[in-house]
Amino acid sequence: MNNKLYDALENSLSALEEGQDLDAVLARYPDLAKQLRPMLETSLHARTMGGAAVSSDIQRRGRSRLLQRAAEMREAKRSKRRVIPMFSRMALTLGLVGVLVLSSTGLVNASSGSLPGDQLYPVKRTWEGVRLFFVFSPGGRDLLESQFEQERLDEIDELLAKGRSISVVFSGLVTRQQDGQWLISGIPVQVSAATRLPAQVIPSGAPVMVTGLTREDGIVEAQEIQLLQAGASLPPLEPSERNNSEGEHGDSNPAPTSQVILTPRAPVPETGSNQNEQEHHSYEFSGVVQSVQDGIWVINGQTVSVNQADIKGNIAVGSYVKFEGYYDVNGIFVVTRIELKSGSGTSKGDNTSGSGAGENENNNDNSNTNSNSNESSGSGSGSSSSEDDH
Amino acid sequence: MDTQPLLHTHSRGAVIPMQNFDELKALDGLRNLDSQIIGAVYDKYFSEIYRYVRYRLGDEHIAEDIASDVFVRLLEALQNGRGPQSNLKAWLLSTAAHIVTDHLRRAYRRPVESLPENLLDTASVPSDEFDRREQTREFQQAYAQLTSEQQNVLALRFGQGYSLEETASVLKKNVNAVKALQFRALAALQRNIGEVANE
Repeated sequence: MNNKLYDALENSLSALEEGQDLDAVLARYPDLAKQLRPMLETSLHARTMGGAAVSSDIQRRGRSRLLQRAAEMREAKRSKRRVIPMFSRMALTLGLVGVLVLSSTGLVNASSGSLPGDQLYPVKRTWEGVRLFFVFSPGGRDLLESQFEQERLDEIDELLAKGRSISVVFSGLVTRQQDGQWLISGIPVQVSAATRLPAQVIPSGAPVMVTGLTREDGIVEAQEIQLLQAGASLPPLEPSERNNSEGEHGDSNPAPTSQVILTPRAPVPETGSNQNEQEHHSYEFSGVVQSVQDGIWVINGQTVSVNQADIKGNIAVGSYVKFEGYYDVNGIFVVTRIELKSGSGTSKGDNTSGSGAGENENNNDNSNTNSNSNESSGSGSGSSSSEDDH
Repeated sequence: MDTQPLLHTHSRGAVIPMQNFDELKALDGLRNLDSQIIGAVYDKYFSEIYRYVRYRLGDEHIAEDIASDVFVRLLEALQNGRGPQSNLKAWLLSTAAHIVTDHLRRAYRRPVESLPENLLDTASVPSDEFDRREQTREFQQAYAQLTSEQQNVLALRFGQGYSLEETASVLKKNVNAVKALQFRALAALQRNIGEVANE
């Protein structure tokens, strides 16, 4: 019923809209006419309320308002665009700086393994200088310098291992002198008639600075050896860390295979008075005993002779010991006194190398432990190396 | 001034698409704040929107403000990535309806005891004009008592002259629902007019 009424209303409205007479329209729906009439009359009334056409003033005002608003929005949009490029430039700049920093870091990292003569070697040395520049505590500076000096020795080791011929300069302790074949901080050095030597005799254990040329046969051909003053600041020898900054020389040792890991505590110049000790300087170390066999022990990777040692305490493998001694003419470290510092060396000395016992990584012992890298020798440290390839 | 409706007001059947007017192109122009396009769209639709608002509120000044605001909102919505995607007129009418509803809600909260200017001065007007104004007042009073939906359907059907289908499209209802709605709206309006006249 309702739908019929709705449809009748709609049809009647359409007919009225088309201009038909109300009564004529209602005549089509005699049964609904009573209901439809007032509604259709109301619809006619409603149509008349649509009002007049929109005046041009109203239209113009609205148009102006809208176009002005659009202009404001365009301006705001342009401002936004101006800000974005500015931001983009800043972002680009920051990005480039970031890339540079990152690439610089990458460059430094890449240069860390470079050797004298490599293109990146100057980067490595410059970076070391930068790092030193920003270390303000004397202790920290000494430690860092010692690491760098050790790095020089490692570089020379590597150059020799690779058979590359490069000019190098390094400093270290003379630990062996035999028929023109010297061992200086673990670096084999050929001393010939062409080598410029100081007027005075260079004793074993003396701190020296070597200028030479690495050779393919694994030896540094010395061009000049200078005797450093007693007490001169020598780079720590082997271990990259030396605990007592006042110690100047260390001793070192040997060849890559013998791995010395001792850290000199304080070189004790014997001032040559003791001829019985063959004019050797005496050194004091601490470290972990790694093997004990007859009179030959291995302490922190360095083979030492204890035949003449004054042994105090019950020392066994793993003991952390302090010992003194000197290098004999053959480069063997002769222990004159050794004493137990603790029963276990695990927490102290470090043995990177190694034979035997524990393998700690490094340690910092306030007395004189060493930390070290593996291999090479004990004392002496190189100071610089350098330059050209030959 | 282009007052032709976008949709043919006397059409029957399905919603008739706009003719001679590329709506998608117009929407692009509006997004780009192209002055020419903005002017063209305004000219095309302002009259309809204005009349719709005026019908709903019976006030030319408010209708002018609200109708203008509808177009400003259109630009703002498009700039913010919103706004109509296709049926521009339906969006404009829908926005106008929302603004009118908000206006009426505010007016309801703060009723103003004043009549439109054209109804105030009744002392020196001819009797015909007086009767016309009185009828208008009664109608507007009766119309104002309808629901928003009923007001809407009457405004579209009799104020705008939209067909049943066009009205259904704007109101987002089906045709039968609009038929029923307009029936109830007319019945209620007739009743209200009678009540207002008897007051």
